[in-house]
Amino acid sequence: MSTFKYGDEKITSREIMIAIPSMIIAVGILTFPRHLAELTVASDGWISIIIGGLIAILLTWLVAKIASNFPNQSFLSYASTLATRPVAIVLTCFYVIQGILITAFEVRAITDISHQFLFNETPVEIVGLTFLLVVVYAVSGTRAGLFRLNAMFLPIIFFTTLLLIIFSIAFMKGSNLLPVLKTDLQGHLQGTMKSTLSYTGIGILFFYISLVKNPKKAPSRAAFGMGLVVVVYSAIYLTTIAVFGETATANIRFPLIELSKTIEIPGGFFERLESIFFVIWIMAIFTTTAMALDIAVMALNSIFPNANKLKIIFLLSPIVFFISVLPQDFMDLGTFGDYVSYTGWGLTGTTAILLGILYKVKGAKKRGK
Amino acid sequence: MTRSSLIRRLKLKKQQQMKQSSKTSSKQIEITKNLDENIKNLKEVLGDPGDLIVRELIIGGIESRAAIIYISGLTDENLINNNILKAIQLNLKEFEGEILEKIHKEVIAVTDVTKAEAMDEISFAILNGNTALYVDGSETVLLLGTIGGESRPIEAPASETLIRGPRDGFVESIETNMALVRRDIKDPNLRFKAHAVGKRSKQKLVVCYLEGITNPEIVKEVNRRLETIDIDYLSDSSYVEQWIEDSFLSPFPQLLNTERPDKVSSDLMQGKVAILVDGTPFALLAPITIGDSLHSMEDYTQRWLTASLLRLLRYLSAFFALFLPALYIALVSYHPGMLPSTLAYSIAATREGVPFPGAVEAILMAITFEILHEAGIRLPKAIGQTIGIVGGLVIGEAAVSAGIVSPIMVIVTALTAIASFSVPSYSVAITFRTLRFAFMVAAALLGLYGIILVYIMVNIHIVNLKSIGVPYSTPFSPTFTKDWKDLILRSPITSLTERTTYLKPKDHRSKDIKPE
Amino acid sequence: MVNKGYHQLFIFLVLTLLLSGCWDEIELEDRAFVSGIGIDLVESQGQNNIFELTDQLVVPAGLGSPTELSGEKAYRNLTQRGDSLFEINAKISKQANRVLNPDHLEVIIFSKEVVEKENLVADLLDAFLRHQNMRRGVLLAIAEGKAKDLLYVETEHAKLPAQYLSELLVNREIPETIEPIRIGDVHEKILNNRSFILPELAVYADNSVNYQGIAIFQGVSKKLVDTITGDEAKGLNFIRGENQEGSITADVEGKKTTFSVLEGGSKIKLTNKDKNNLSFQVDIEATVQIAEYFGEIDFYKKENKAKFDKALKDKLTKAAEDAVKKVKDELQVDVFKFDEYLRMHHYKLWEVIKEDWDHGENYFANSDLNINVKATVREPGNTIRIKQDGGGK
Repeated sequence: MSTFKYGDEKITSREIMIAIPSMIIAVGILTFPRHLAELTVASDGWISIIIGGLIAILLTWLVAKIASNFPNQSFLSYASTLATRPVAIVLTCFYVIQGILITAFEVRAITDISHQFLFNETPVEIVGLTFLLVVVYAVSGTRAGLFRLNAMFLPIIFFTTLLLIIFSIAFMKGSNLLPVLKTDLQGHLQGTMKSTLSYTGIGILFFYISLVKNPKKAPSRAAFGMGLVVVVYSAIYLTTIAVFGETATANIRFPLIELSKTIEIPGGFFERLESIFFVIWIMAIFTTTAMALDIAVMALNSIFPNANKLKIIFLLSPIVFFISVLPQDFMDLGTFGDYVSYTGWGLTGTTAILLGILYKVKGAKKRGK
Repeated sequence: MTRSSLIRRLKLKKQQQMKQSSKTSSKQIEITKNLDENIKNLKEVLGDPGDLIVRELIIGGIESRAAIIYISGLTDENLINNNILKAIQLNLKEFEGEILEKIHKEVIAVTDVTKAEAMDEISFAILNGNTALYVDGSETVLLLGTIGGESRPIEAPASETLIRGPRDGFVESIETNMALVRRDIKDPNLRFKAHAVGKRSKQKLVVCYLEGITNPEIVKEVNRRLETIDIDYLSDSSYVEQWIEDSFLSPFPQLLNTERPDKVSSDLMQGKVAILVDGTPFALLAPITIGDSLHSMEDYTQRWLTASLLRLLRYLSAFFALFLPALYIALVSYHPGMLPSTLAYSIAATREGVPFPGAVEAILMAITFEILHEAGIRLPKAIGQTIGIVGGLVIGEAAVSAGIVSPIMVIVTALTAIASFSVPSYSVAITFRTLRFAFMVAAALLGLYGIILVYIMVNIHIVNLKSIGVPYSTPFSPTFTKDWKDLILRSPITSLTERTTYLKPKDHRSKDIKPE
Repeated sequence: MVNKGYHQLFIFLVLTLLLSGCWDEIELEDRAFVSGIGIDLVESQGQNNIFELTDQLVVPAGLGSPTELSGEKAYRNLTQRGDSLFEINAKISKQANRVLNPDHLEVIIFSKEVVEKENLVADLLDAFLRHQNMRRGVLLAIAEGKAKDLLYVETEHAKLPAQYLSELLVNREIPETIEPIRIGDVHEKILNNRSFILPELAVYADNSVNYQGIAIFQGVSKKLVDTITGDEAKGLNFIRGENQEGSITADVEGKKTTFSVLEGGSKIKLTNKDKNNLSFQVDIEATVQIAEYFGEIDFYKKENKAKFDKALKDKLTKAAEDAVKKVKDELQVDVFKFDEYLRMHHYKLWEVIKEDWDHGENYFANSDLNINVKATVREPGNTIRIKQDGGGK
């Protein structure tokens, strides 16, 4: 019989499973069909999604595996054990910066997209600031609360996406999906590269696994969570291609929003649902942003254990806001996004490989003794 | 955690001060052997009230003086006349030995008899409706359990009516209420832990739970919080609720109130704790979660399909109650493209000539409705009906024909109102009504974007909120899939074999029927 | 640790204060919904074209309510001239007292003059596809005369001319018409330099518009090449496959017979893969019921039924062959969707020939087409015969 304890900051590996899709699904979901359709023929992009997804699942599993070998230890502490304290501090600092960058990017992206679809006159700063403040409100709550929030929102996001796909069926043209498997190797390679960009955010596992009470199951659960993302991405991709065709998809800025603009529910009270779908994706983007900021806060807190969490948040949020208004136009923003994704992969990949090798080496030494 | 602990620390500190001050105030009056002096002292303590009855009598055989003292209206006078007065006067002709002992053991036909020697105890007992029997020459006083007097009979609960289900409701007397729960649960493990609350009112408060089912941590936590209550008088259990809830800033009720003994009993069986307070028919149930707010006892008396559909209906109406006016504002003022063309044109046509923007119109109507609602509750029943007519006329007809609001707004207001009344718990319905205004303001300022931001904020609040330490957002999150059987849908009774798992009960299975 | 409740309250308050704005709030009744747009060409000198844009704005009060129909006009057409659509639209807003809103745009009409210019239709569609409030579901059509005139046609059924036009485009009962074409469909075709078709409308009488025929656009030049009508249009439709409805009239032993199509469709097969001698086989299938018959043959006799089948088959073959002659041999523009078929099923071949498909080398025009019709009369209708043979026998 487990004792009655809820108030602690511990989570279960199921919540890790939910946190992964909540983190990964963000602004990228709105644009990735365009990038893929540019590079692949007809519906072949799904192969890239799956290959990219498999790589992401592998990395997820690896990261979770490393982190779960040190249950209830913060990233800083186990990274210090494996690769000396200065290295660990530098790595943690990188994660702080990455967290800030992701938050800033998402805030800016949501601002731009809202401005494109919901507002004309409202100043962009207000749209971004209100969003950021809600994020700050979430992060200043308990960390366990953040995970509960994920679990509240994720089913809604999945459900609406499913609904969108179902409503799209009437507008699908099978001919758009054919021919299959006509992309050359080059296309697949580039497509896979592009699709991996949509799987950014695995790094959170380095930090969040330490909150898991019993992380034995965490690696497989996290990998499963990543698998869910792959399924959702493939479904969305195939739907957009089936509805628009590959060429049109490649030329629409936000294919997913365009998709929700296309579908109309005859006889429905709301004939056109793009705003509804869009605000629900705001929830998806919100969970990502909140977790990214939370990681930055958590990483900073591990370096300065005596600092007040709220003070850190109030310190970071102006920085985030400032960075978010830096990009001048949509080109800058795109570059910013790609940069954030690439560095995210680079950082997570490097950390995982570095710590993985060190763990093997040190583990081997221990066994040798 | 930090906030609540701080508040509790403050409360504890205050309480300690109060305890010290109350100790010094109580005077020690000795019981003497002289009857007259005793009576005089008692009258002094109670301030010689007009309803204090002092019946002096002379005990037959030995000519010894005695007195029966009680407060009329609090006592069962039949009992005093037949079982005490008559018994003493008729039976006590001759005797030997200690007179008080004889009266206690042989003469009086009352079950609840205690001996008392302290003035405090005696006065408290008399104020509770007991009768004190003084005998000249004795320093001991007999306290006879004659609590009675007029009380409301058991009636059907007014605030929660069911089509099908038990018709009895709690009353103001806690003894009756406890008996009602006992009548439902004839389990020796049913526990009533008594507290006295109200520094001056000295009301009885009972924490009710099932030993071996309810998680002891919850019971401990509830008892701990109850001990911090420091208040003169509780007119209703809501005082307790507001005192012990986890976050007083939250718009959400963190304890559920009910008038229904069957609701209390079935929740006790799930592993919850009930708090009964003397003087109010409203019992409190804790811990509760967001899912509980839309459950009704009707869900269990109807067959599962009906019950599930009714529950879905309730979720839908909760959605309407929260979002409908806000959506109206957002669609009319920000996103006209979302409406079907024909509807958009016809709304536009009816809104031609309405002087206010959609937001003002909606808030105006919502406030009008709230005023009507409030007036309807406060007024006597006879006048209450006129309010309905006036309201119907004002809202339905005059406002539209005067061109202040559009007809579609009237529909929105009416639908919202009906939807908010279909939420079974009044306190939850009030929460929804409050939040509705937040959504309306957000919609007026930022359209759908504002609505979703406020929705996210409400969710953030809910996931951080706790009810007696249990996260308010369970069983949605933290997820307890086993509890989903009885959450949005209500699966057949035979499949509900386990108690609510998020309460972590000590005994999981509620039925021995195996699912296969 | 300071107590967090007050922090939360603080953030909550700041949020509420910051949420104050209402920059974008425009009431429903303060918007002018554009329900239809007509584009005409006024002047054309080389690259410089002056257009005339007509916005049909809805007057909601004129639509009345379901209980009381209003006698007023339900629309207001505003016209301006200029050289860019967005600019003209801005000019129109100078005339309008309300904010123009294209959320409920139903139909865009181009006049024939506009679409006869090379590339012009693609350029003009850009404004519609770029604007965030535009939907890909807006219907497109061509006007034989001035597009503006169509937006003045008021009927008893629909108080809004644009609504009338869009309903007209959706309503298909004769195989001379095509399925409604959405702006999104055309976008895809234009992006791929593929040929496409659009419905052509014309003012018929005072208060009605007629579905004239099918306007054919060449993919590369993106201009109107011709309009086909009547039997050719039917043939085109049968070759294109897609769910067929409507009626076909044929002669059975010299007597007019009208068949109404119950099911119809086609299948394309590539029979020769040599790119210079491409050869297609089109199998058209039609199942019909007799709708109108001027003769008196007993349908229930086997040999008679065959006569009906034969008549229908001949008729369909002829229509299809006429269409092929017109579209393939004369116009040399592939609107039969062979391009789609090749891309889907013969991708490698398609990659080789797609640049010269229906222009340049024009593999399409040089290909062979073999039409094979299978016609079945399934039902005679409610009555078998309504009159007997002459009575002399």
